[in-house]
Amino acid sequence: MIRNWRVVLAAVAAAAVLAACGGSGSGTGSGASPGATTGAGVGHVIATTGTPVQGGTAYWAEQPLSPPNYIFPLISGAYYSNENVYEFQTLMYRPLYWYGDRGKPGVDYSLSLGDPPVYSDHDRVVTITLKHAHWSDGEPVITRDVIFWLNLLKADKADWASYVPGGFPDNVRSWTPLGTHTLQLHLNRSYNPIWFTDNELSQITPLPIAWDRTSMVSCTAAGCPVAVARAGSARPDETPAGARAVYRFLNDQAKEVSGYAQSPIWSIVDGAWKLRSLTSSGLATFVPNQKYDGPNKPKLAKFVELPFTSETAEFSVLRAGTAKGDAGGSSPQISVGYVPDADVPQSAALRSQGYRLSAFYPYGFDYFEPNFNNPAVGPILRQLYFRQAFQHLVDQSGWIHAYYQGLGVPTYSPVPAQPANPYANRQAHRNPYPFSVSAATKILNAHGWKVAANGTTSCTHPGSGAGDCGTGIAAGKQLRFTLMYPSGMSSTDGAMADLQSVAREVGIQITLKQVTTATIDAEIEPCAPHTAACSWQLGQYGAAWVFAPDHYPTGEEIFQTGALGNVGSYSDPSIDRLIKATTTSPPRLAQRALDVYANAVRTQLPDFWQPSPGTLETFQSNLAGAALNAYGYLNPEEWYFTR
Amino acid sequence: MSGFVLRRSGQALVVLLGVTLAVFILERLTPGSLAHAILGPRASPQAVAAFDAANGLNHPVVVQYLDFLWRLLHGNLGYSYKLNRSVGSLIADELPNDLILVGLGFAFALAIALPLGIAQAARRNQAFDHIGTGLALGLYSMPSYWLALLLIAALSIGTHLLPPEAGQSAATAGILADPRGLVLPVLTLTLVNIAWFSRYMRSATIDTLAQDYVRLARAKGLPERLVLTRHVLRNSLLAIVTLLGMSVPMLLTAGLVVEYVFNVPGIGLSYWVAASNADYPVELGVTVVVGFATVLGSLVADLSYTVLDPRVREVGRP
Repeated sequence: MIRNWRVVLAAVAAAAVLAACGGSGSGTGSGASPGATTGAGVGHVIATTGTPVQGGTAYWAEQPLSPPNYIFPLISGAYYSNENVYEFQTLMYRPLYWYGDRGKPGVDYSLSLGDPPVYSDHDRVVTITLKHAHWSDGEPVITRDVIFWLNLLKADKADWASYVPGGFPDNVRSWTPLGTHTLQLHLNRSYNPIWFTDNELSQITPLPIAWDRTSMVSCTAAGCPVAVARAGSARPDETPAGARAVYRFLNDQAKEVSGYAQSPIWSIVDGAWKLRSLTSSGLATFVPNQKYDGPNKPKLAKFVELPFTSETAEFSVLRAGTAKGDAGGSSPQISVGYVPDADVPQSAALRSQGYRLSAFYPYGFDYFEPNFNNPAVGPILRQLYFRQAFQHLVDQSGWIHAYYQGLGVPTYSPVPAQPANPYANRQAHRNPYPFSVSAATKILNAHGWKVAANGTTSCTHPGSGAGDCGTGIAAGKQLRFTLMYPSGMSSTDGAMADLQSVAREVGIQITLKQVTTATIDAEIEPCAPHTAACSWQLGQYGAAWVFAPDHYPTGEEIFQTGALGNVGSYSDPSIDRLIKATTTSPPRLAQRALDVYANAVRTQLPDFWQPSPGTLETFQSNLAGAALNAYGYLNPEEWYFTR
Repeated sequence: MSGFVLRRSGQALVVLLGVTLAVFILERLTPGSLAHAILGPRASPQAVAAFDAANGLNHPVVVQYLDFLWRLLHGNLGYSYKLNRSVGSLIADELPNDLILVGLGFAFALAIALPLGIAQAARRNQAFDHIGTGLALGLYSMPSYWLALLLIAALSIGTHLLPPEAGQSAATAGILADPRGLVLPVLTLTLVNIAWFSRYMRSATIDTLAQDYVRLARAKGLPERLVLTRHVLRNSLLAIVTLLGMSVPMLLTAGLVVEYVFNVPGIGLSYWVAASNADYPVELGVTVVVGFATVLGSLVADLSYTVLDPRVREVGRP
């Protein structure tokens, strides 16, 4: 496991692309999330340590070989990555709702463009009210900008990274503008308002209507004017064909990476920052957007994202650079960086230089996948008792201590307890299957297997009765598995080798297979039994599931039958019903539905739980206000240097 | 001479075609779906179908290869979705970095290694030779990654004399913007290559010194300095020329370690990452360029032989 949450996010988010949704139900209520920070117009209270200094340049370390390279916020799967969305686009183009109050999960309405949405008609209608914000060209951010986004999405939804058939925008029947700052969405049925806000509305990013074009005609270096539609004529995005043409135009514009900073299109922003320059290697320089309406106006004069070719290079700059920010001079420096896994033992040296270090954990969980449809081992993996026995062999605390250098939290539930959040119940802190070789041995012995410690355990009681091995498992069947995982991650190497060694103690033979992450992405996919694609047995992504941009920790994207993220083809009608309840319950029953779902999934083991990794982040000693967001968003407008 | 060049160019073209075909087939043999490798394992079937159609992946492999060759003939090396840029622009941006770094590294290494090798040969089995051999073998056996880290620790972290990374300017060949940033990567490449070149030069010089014409020159009373510079040096350079010819593709690939450690965007690293990420266009594009460099290097070496040793020109003449 790369214990760097940003890599984790990139890997999973890009691949998983979480988002989107589906579900049904009924209910009423207003849609404030339990984790919401309310109080529109009231900004964050920024922690202060010293006299604030106006100005200065903060340098932020990008992940190795992960330069931002796509600017259009309606992003396709090919470009969806943490570095493009959370660390680049959202600096310039604010999402309708902002998520994460530093390390705390949940929506933050004070930083959002919209007020809390209001649900009505048994949660079939949602009313969105925009605050009075402006684009950098002086135009107000209005309802039409949201409709523009919706029109483009409807026309090209298949290309959207977060699209899931039946999810957003399929579950929106129509919309009605109720003025310049209010919009009503009519849903195809009732939904849990918390879920719909956190997992569907959370993905909307208003787009300036000046982008509603198919050419650069009338654009100058100063910007692209909003064309006034002639009487009786429609704007391009108002027809599906026109919207597709606009999408193609903007997508093509987004392929001119070297021209982003000078583009009259992309220079129209409503976020706190404007892009001043972007090199092909990923050196991105931002300056404050003077027209920014948000509560936290940037105090820094510049914010710079630094590209690196390796963690080694980043760490060298940390060690050779100054731990006091904006101290002048031309030496490279990093205001906010990270300590590579291999260099965690050197954290004392960094502290002695003056850096502040802080462990960080994104909001998510980690796991490895069983392939329930694999012809050879699928019948074994479908037995709950076997999954329980196998989970007993995962020494989560031991892995964290031995291989994660303490930077990890155990996963006991699909609604994780860490970081502290309003969604997890007490069960999320308890391990239902603690590490125990003897417990695993006992379970296997009780279900028709002859356990051969350090040999190969085999089935001696085939059949489907109590005490038998289970349906589809023949007499003499041996417990042999192949586990595929990404190469080049020492912590994962150690953890997988440990699992292999411990499993041998109960006669389970695991063959470890190291492959590239691209091979993992290409090979681990839902498959039909007896097809070539179904040859994989156990798979480990080397990356955790992080709840972004689906911020509400439900399981419709990963555990529901047929979900795109359900790559192991797990299927349990009772779990499907519980998932449906989490997305459709009225607010007063939502937490209960989430608890019931979490308690069921944590014990049913559709995946095998393993520790969720964290990272050790570094901060220059005089940088204040810099706290990492639970979902990965960057807020450098909150950062400032002190004397 | 022109017939020789034409003949070798024709051979080069065949070799290049063979290399592209081999890489293309190997890439297609990689298990799993390319669309999933790019879009992620949870991409919707609609997105996968659209991706395949947009990239011609729904055509037979032969058609895909011919399409690649057709685009190549028009100077189009393809487009990388992973990087959101054309492969041509990637190479145009990064190739100068490699040429500068590795070129300087080789130049300094040669400037030190050639005299060192000759001097060692001239003082064979004496203290100077033993010290030179020990140093050369010490540097040769030291992993360049480790050497780079040692240099950073000593000259950058420990003393703050030099920056730990190359310049990060926007322009092509932007590493020139900060000459101080070039010192450590060039020093690393120089040190690791000194041993390589000096050992070859020492060996070739010892062989040359044993030749009759050298003995004759000494018997005539020619000073040793003139013997070495007039009679030994030129004849000993053939081995180095061979080595340099074979090293031309290394201008593109030898920089991998320094790119990795010293934060230099370069071709070697891009190729390595492309191979890990199933970024086929970058793999193919760089393969073509490296293949071209290999063939070109071999051709230049052959031509250099004819300059250094006129007898080579006579071979094959009736």
